[in-house]
Parts: sequence; C-alpha cells; structure tokens
Amino acid sequence: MSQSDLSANVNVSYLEQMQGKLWRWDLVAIVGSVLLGVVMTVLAAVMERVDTALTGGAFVILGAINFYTIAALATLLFRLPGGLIAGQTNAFIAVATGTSPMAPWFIPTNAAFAIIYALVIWKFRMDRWWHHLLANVLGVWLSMLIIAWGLLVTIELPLNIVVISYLVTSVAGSLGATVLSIVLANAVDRSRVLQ
Amino acid sequence: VLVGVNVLLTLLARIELSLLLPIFRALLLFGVVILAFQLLFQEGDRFLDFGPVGLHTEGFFITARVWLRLANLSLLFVGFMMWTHPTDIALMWVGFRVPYRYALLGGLALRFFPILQNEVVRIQDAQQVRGQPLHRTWQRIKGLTTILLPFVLGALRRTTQIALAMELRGFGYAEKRTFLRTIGMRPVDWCLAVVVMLLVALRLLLLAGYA
Repeated sequence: MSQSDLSANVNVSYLEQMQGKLWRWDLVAIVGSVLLGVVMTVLAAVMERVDTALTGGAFVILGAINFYTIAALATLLFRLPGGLIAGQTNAFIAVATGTSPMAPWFIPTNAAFAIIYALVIWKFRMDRWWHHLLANVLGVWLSMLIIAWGLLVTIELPLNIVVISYLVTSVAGSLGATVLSIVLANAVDRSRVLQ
Repeated sequence: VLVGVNVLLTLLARIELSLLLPIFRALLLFGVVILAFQLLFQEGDRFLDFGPVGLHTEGFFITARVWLRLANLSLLFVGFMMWTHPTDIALMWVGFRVPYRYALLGGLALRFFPILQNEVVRIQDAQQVRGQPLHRTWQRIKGLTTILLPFVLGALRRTTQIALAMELRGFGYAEKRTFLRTIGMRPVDWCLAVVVMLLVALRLLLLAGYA
C-alpha cells in the first residue's frame, strides 16, 4: 500500500483501512515503526530506570506498560512488520545503551508479542474494547514467558519470585496497554496525521 | 577476568573509561537490589535471622555471579556500539544479504534517538509552562500521560515527512544499491569466528555434562 492509496480514501478512517491486513511494507510504515521504536525507548529510559531502582529489574511494571502500549500501537497502525520493526528497534537501542540488564531478552520477547498481536488484529475488526483486550492479553501473557525464563536463567531469581513478577507484570502490562493503546490509536485516527 | 578483558578492549579502542561510569553506576544499583532479593528469597544456610525472615549465605555467591555476568554483557554490548560506527553496522547487515531498506534502519534509529529525546524535553517544558509540576521523579512519571500523546503524534507527523523526503531521493527505488565503502570478512575474521564457535560448542558440551 502506498501513501497515495491511503490519501485517496480520506473519508474512511485510517484504522478501518487497515482492517483485515497482516502486512505493510511501504516506506511510511517502515519509517513510522522505527520512530515508534525510538519513542518507546526514549520513554523506557525513564520508566525502566525507575523499575530497576525499585525492584532490580525483577518487576518491570512501568517498562512493560510502556513497551506493550507502543508495540500495540505500532502493530495496529503498521501491522506485523511495523510491530516487529518497532520492537526490534527498541531492543537494539536498549542493548546498545545498556538501559536495562534484561535488554538482550527484549529481542525474542518483542518479536513474540508483535507476531501474536498482529495475528489477532488480522482476524478481528478491532472496533470493540474486548478485541483490544484479547489481543493484549494473548500477546502480553505469552511473550512475558520469555522474560520470565530470562529472569530464571540470567538473574537466577527463585522460581516463586519469578512467578510473582510474571503475574504482576502481565496483569499491569495487558490492562495498561489495552487502555492506552485504544486511547492512542483513536487519537491518531482522529488527528489524520497518517492520511 | 572477562570484565578486565572488556575494559582492556575499551582502552584499546581509545574510549575514555569515564564514559562507562554511568553503566557501572546503574549496575551497582542493580546489584544492591538483586542482592536484597537473593539474600531474602534464596534457600540454604541462614547467617542472620529477623524473626521469621532470614538472610541466606547462598545469596552472596549468586549475586556475585549474576552481577559479573550482567556487567560483562553490558560492557560488551555498549562497548561494541561505542567502537563501531552505525554505518559499519548497516554495511555488516548488507554483507549478510539483508535488503538495504532494512539494513539502514539501525542507523535511522540512532540518528533520531537524540532528536526525539530533545522533543520529549521540549514537550515537558511546554507542560511545565502550562502549570504541570515535573520537577521530581514521581511527578515526571505522573506527567508522562500528558506527554505521551503529543510525543507520539509528533513522531508520526515526522514519519510522513521523512518517508516523503526519502522517496523523493529514490530510497527503495532500485532492488540493489551500491555503497561508497564496503566491508567484508577477512581470513583473520573467519579464524576468530571459528574459534568463538568452538568455544561456544565447548561450553555447551560442558553444560550438558559430556566433558
């Protein structure tokens, strides 16, 4: 889909135009995904440091809400490639700048979330709040298993702490991302900034 | 030993060690918190009791091992990014036959990282002028909700401008493109790669208990 295809349908909302699509490979999608990945990392620089200061990185609550919100938004706007590129951009910068001790684990986690979320939004119209909740719950709870494994292997936390961390982060991440991604996606749609 | 090797590599790359101080500061903070977790929740011999809660000796050893592992990972990754130019990373991906449209994305991200960081500061300043307190860390966290929307919309507006500019310059027009400079694997690089792979294989064998 090119930029002219999008601007030709100005009467149809951007999110409606994206319904039923799994792929987008145009330059707007690629550049937009990279910039959303950078946005995610800039915000994470504040949030993950607070998480690390409070819990040593075992409970990445604010970091999870930030990551899953922007990753969901990137996937909603630019579909599977968008989610993958935004997630990997975030992981790349996090590894490069040493923002979080768990940064190397973001690479598979971010990819898993983007794939699961994109598959759900491909099959649903995403015009009901529970569509968003379903996509986020599936994406967050499954991808967080990778982070939980990372906490066990890299930080060698006891299993009971890892389970508590997994539950707390997944609940906060899925609920926070659902609310914020709906608000942001609707705001982007109304602003017509991508049309 | 490995931390020493990493520091030595940084010195050989003529990078000032003071640049690594923020990483060590973050790692120190992380180490303190992880020590508290390990002392409290690990199982084993107790060396101090506070009623039902006790501190476990094993926590010291595990924290030391975890801290050194993370220090090595952080130093290695950050060091690599410090002594490797983003263009070289893009050329490396091109060398691995990744299409150049995607190989150059890392450079694009690093180029826009400081720009968007400044944009957040500008939005924060604007919100402060409108009366929102953002001096303390907690206030900044609370204030993120009012910063998120203008920040995301600003980034997306920038997206359309950048994409248009890139298309006008012919980015992505041709399947393949040439570069002013190319990088490739030399014989010594192949030798080092083989040595590293052998070491990884040996480590895996040791882990599996075959040695």
